[in-house]
Amino acid sequence: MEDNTLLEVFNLTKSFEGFVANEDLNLKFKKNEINCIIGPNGAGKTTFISLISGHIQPTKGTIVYKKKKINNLDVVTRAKLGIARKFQTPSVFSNLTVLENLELAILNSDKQANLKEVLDEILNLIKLSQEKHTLSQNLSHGQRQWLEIGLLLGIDAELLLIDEPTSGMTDFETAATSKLIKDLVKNYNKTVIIIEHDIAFIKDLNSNIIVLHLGRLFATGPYEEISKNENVKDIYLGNEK
Amino acid sequence: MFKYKKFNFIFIFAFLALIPMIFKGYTVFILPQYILFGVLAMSLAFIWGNAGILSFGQASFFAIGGYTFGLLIKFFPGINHFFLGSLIVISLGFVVAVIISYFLFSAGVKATYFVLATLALSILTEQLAVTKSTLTGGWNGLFVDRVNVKIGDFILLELSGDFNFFYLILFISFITYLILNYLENNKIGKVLRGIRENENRMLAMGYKTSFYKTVAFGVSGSVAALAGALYAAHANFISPSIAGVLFSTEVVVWVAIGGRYSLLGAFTGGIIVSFLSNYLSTITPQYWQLFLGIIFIITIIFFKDGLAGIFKK
Amino acid sequence: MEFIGISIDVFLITSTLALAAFGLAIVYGLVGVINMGHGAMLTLGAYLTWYFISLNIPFFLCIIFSGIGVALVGITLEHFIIRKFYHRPFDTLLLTWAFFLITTEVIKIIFGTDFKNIEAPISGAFEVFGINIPAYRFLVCLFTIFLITISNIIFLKTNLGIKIRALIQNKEVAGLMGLDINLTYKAVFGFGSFMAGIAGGLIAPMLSIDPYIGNIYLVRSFFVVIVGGVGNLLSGTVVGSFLIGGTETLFAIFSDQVVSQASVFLLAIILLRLRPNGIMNKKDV
Repeated sequence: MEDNTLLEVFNLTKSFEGFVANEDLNLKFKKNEINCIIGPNGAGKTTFISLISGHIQPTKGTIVYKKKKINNLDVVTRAKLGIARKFQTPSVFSNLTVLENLELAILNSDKQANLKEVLDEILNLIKLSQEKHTLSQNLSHGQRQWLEIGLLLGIDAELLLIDEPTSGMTDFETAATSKLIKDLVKNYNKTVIIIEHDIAFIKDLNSNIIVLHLGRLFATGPYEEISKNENVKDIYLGNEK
Repeated sequence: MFKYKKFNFIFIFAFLALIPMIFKGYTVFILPQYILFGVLAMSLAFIWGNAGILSFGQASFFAIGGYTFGLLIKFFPGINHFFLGSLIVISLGFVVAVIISYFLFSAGVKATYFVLATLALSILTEQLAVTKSTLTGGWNGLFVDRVNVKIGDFILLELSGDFNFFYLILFISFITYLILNYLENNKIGKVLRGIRENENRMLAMGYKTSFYKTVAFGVSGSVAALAGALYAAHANFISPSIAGVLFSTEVVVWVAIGGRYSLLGAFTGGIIVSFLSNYLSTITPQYWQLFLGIIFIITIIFFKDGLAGIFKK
Repeated sequence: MEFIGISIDVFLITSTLALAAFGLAIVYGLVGVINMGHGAMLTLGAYLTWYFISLNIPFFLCIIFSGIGVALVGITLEHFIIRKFYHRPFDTLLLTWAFFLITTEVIKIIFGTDFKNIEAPISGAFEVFGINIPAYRFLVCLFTIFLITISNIIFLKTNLGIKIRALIQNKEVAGLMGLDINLTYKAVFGFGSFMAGIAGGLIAPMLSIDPYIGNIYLVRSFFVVIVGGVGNLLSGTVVGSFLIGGTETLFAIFSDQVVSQASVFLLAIILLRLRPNGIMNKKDV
């Protein structure tokens, strides 16, 4: 393994009572990279993320993070190691303000001592400085997604698993999210794995793409390459041979 | 970081402190017991309001504290009852609470199942108090000698009269309030509220939620046990009825009515409702209980924040 | 001989417990309501049976009337209060507990607090292998077996059973399948209450009746349901009853009340820890 590999999976398989959601995946994720996972519905994208975050256990295969096998570690331990997840449906603290939400995250990081500075920095990044006293249930859907990403930053996670960040967002918000992700990877030492459907967003990120289909790795490569791949278009349209 | 959101607590404790100056006699004697019920209520509000952990077992810890203190006085006349005894009682309450909750929370047992476990704990404690009658006096109860607060042989505070004991209990209750309030406004309180709001999110952020819940329940158990010990010391008598399910549910009713999200609300609710209960029970026992049950339902449906919530508006 | 005697004891007690827990299992398993008033419903069933017997109505009919009476109470409770709180399990817990408090007081007001007694419709005992088996208890036991068997058949083999199982699995989908959710919930709650009433009436002749008689079975019934596994209405209830009832009986024979209660408590907690979803369900959700 080269030194800048953050996460690697070998023969990763997950089946639920006969239904195979992920089959024999072998993937490598380098540090400070953006990786987009795409694929038609039911391809096993969220299953894959759940396997990495620890919410489900693999049926077969190994997950190696920072050169250590993490199969037997639970969600909490993986989070402490730096693996954090933004869920498909935003999961924040509805009855708390933006500030209180972020505070909870920061309190569980090594940066608690600089609470105020870290808070301001994150609020700036996720563009919620003006909303810091707003209850999170009163934020727009897009803002709530940003807040959730803010939580991941608060606990100082290194590997961000982001499930459909732009769902329900306006074009303006989507563009801002793309900028945020690129910023996080370039300037804040984060590694990001994103599940997405929005083509404009994926194009703008211009990252490494992983295409899943029926649980298997269908294709992988830089955006340029994948966007020209006829087979990839076919699996979305159901035309595969 | 101390947060004096309001200064209500000063008013309430000052008001209570003035009472023995105005009313003499029976009131000064009986009020400390209601104040201790208020502390018992706070022990429930601490976990219920913050972590969303409902417990039907607070009476259990109250009884454990009371019987332990009484038995220490009875069988170990030589030890320092107030200081060492309190320490033992607080530790015992903490340990019992932690053992049970650790066992359950670390396995991911649902909060609703936890309620049933605390219910069973109450039943068990009552049974224990009844059947180990050579030790506890069974249904006849345990008589507890009144002791003074001493250091060695030097009497720090004479407790044979009611006046001193009243202020001692009020003082301890005040300190307990300050401690619980401090915890609520700092990290553990915030974490507990986070767990209540969205436990999955807390887990995904790397919080070992079972640890925090266990510690919180431990604190709750030790506060309840201390209240029980002081109660036994003051009333000079303790019986199994203070251990069982019915008393545990009374505590839940007090806190629901007083306000589960407010320590002060629970404290006041505990004092007022228990006082009314005792007073009206002698006049019209069944109709009072019926009335209380109805108030309870109305509170759960329409006034989730209890009286404290109504006062806030 | 001792062993057979103990086995028979365990068997009788287990079946009584299963009977008492059945109504609870139905309500909790199907609509997810922790009915803390279940004990009160058992008590109410016992008192109603006593009342109907005092009117010289035949025992068998008294039981049915009690069941209907408690079912009506249950449906009223569901309609006016529980119905609005299905999505808030903690609140239903508290509300049903308040129901218990209120019902118990009403019972005390109407019937008084002194002990009441009902004579078993069948007295006497018969001998099996030299062990005396009370005839009435045996009859109740048979009834319980009959009940569980019939429920099994309805549940697994009829259309109604399929619909109910669909409801357990997935509320939304069941709704889309044309099931009237509100009506179904009411029917389930009503049936659970009916069963509680019947159980209370059948158990009444075995004990002296007081306003808290049902509560003995409340926590035990819950442990039965939790240990057995929510949603496994039949196998769970049977296995759970056996474990809980069996443990308690065994320890009560060899030791005292406290130890037997404590061991049941410990058993339930240990099992909960090992199998948080109940003994019949796999650990992984």
